[in-house]
Amino acid sequence: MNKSDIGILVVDDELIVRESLSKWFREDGYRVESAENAATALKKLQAGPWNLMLVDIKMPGMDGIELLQRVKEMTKDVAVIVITAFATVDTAVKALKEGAFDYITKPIDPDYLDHMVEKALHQQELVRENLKLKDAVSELAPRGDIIGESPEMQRVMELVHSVAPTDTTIMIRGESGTGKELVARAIHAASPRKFFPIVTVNCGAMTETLLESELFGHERGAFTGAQYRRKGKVELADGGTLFLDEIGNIDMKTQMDLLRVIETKQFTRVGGTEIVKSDFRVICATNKDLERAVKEGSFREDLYYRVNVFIIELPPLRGRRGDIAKLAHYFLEKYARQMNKQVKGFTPEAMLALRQHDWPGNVRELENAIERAMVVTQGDMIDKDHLPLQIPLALVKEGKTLEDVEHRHIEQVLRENSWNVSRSAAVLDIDRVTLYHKIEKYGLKREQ
Amino acid sequence: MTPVHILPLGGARLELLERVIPSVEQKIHRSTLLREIDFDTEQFYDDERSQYNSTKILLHLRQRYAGAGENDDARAIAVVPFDLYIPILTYVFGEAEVNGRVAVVSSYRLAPERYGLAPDANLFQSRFLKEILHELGHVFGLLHCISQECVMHSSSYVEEIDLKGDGYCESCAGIFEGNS
Repeated sequence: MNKSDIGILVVDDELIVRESLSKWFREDGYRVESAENAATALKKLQAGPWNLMLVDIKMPGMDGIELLQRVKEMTKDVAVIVITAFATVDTAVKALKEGAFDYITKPIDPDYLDHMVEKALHQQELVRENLKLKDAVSELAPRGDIIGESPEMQRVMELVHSVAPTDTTIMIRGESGTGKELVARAIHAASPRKFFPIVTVNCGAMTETLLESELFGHERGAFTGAQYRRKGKVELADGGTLFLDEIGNIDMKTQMDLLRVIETKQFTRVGGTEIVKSDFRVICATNKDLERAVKEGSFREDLYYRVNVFIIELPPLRGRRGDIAKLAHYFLEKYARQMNKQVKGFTPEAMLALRQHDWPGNVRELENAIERAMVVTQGDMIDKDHLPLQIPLALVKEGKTLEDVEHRHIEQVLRENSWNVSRSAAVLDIDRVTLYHKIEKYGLKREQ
Repeated sequence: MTPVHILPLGGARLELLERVIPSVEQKIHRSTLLREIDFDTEQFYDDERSQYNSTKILLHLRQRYAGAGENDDARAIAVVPFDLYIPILTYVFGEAEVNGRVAVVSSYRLAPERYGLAPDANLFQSRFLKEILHELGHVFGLLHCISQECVMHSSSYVEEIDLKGDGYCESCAGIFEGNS
């Protein structure tokens, strides 16, 4: 950086100090201005940009330490060197604690001044470079593999981008395999907490005691086998995001502990008495009907309202069939790279089968299907025979009669409406009794 | 072209000045005029610091060289044997008005014996020449130069003066090619 591009602001109530320091730095080619008090300095700081401030501690009105605090609240881009007439340990410690780069005593040794200014500017340059690199990395880093151009997924992404910069608690709902964790990661990656961890807790995979220890950590000797103190996920998420997957599966006691920690951001480790603080944002996910769980008494109402602040509903894959082709190609390319295979695409029959399948396991099932097809295929195209789809593909090709079509259509509507007969009948525009007859006629049964 | 005035003050050694003046004239492409003037430097002495305030010396010199009977475009450099300071710094080798009229240089901290070393007249003279050229460069509008070889490179301790050359780099030398 050219020295004339580097701005130094000298803040001192003594004219002679301002003049002599300004002159000293100008001779070096820096862009220099001065301010006789903190208020003027703050105005000049806003007009910026500045790289370095030299601030006298003792000034009438707002002193140098308070000015330093204000500067650090406003920007991290400016290094501050504090000037003091009498160096005391207290002043020095205070200045450094408030974020000063260093302090110097009057009168200043010219060699020391030059050396310190160079060091401060060098460090400031590193800070700026670091911030730039972080921005660049966050631009380059994958946002999570969320693929979808359907209006449903566009709506989801709009919600993600609008809620990410806030600290609002988020509930992501959707069937298994719809990509709830990916959405949670996308929210975290677009949030100001992105440089801190996102810590995932799979609440459904643990017993009551294990989950408690997993969440809050434990002290040494808290239980048999607890040979060391261990930090819990809540503590590890400090500064970042705590993603509670399958929150609907938490037992009642842990629900109460969880509610308390979400509200107070404080907790004690299992077997401990020390209060630990953690600053985290909560994102939850569930595929359960939480409203029913609340009614049935298996999910606390207060926790329900605490975590159900901002809801993102993920559509099932069958509800956004327009995305299937794009997703299929995305997974094909992903596994072609991983397996080093030259597979170019899908045959028309395979793509038709993919589009017509109902994907009860959603995107996860689609990904697995493509991965398995990639393993078995020997040519450069994936054919329908390579796809391990659960519904017999015969249905796709065969059954062209009106009855066959009605059979498939009723089955699909029932599945889309979770076998709610009233809702399905309304969609089909027939009465419930007729629908029951059709179900019986075609031998339709709900999949377990 | 108006000669640059060289003003020995406070008992500065004339024979030293006479030895460096030819080199000064050669580097700045101007003649010089060694002038002894009536100027009381004791008023700038600070009892607490036992040093002389260079900023105040400059201020008085400027008043003298700003229309008080001197040529309008005359530039002057005072040379003193005592230690100089500006209030915020512990010492300075010299001070100048950038693109102005006056400068002051001290020989006090340039002698090797000041640092417990054996006297070295050549080294002392070389440092003295470099500091005169440096402060005159400021008077003619030059700032510190990034070239390690250039006499306008910043030096805040004496060894740094020894590291740089005793002439202006090509870029800085250009400033003396005008007629002012």
